[in-house]
Amino acid sequence: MAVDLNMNVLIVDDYATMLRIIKNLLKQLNFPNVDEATDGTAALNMLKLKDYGLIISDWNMQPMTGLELLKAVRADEKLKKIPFIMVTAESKTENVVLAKEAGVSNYIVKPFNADTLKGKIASVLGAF
Amino acid sequence: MSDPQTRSQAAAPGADTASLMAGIRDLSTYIAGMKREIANISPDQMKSTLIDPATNELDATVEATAAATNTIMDVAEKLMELSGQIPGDHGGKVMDYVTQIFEACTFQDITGQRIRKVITAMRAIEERIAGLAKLVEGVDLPAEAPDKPKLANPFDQSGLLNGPQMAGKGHSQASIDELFSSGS
Repeated sequence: MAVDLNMNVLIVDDYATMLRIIKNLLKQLNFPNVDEATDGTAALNMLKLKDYGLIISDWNMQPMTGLELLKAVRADEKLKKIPFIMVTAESKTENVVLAKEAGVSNYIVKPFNADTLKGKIASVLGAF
Repeated sequence: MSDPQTRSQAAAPGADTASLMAGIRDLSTYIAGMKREIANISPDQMKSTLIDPATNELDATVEATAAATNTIMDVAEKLMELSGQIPGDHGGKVMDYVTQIFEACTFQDITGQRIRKVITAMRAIEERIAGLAKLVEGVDLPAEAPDKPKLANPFDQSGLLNGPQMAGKGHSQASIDELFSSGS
């Protein structure tokens, strides 16, 4: 099935610059509908108000981390099937294992490039 | 029957005692010196003259790189818009270059995280030093040698060369121009 490029994508990061970078890279990948949140709590509120087809989140945020957001999403009956990509500088094995156990769809280590982002999105949504 | 070494030790008990006493004296001098060094650290002064200014410098570094990154991104976004109007392969090439600029800009997030780690480490060192200094508080210590060289303070503003100034400190180019043209 073809990927709906018009789907709503939610990106979550406490660094405004990072949000801007990911948004621009998504724009280049032809995803025009991108919303931003600066922490897990704000993201969770947004997820309850609008339908999203993909979440791309940082891990290290306060007060609600990306991992906590992931767990909250997976615990919510309405949200649990949304693909969730973690984009983080945390690259230790235990981080990846924890995220995987919590149900992350894919994991990108910062710094990353556009090809990596595209490849990981394709791996969770299908080729586009 | 005792061996020759045991016999030798038994024959000269005074030498052993003198050596032991000398060792204790050395140790005592060493401990006193260490206590003096710890007492002279003066954590409050270290906080105000070294740790706080160093933290401010690092904060300013993060702010400056964030501002520069945003400027770069502003330009890259404008180029991205223009690339659609460029005919032929050139538009695609410009877009590829813009993508590389966006990718490179992720450095700001990484350096910001690294700098935050350094700030946290500095605060931890500050706490440990304060704890050590508290241990020797009130202990009567020998005075510091007067000829002991002082540690350099990179944030001491009394010299001529102080490096880049924090925002709001020092002169702006406009006020320098004013100073320069005033003839004073």
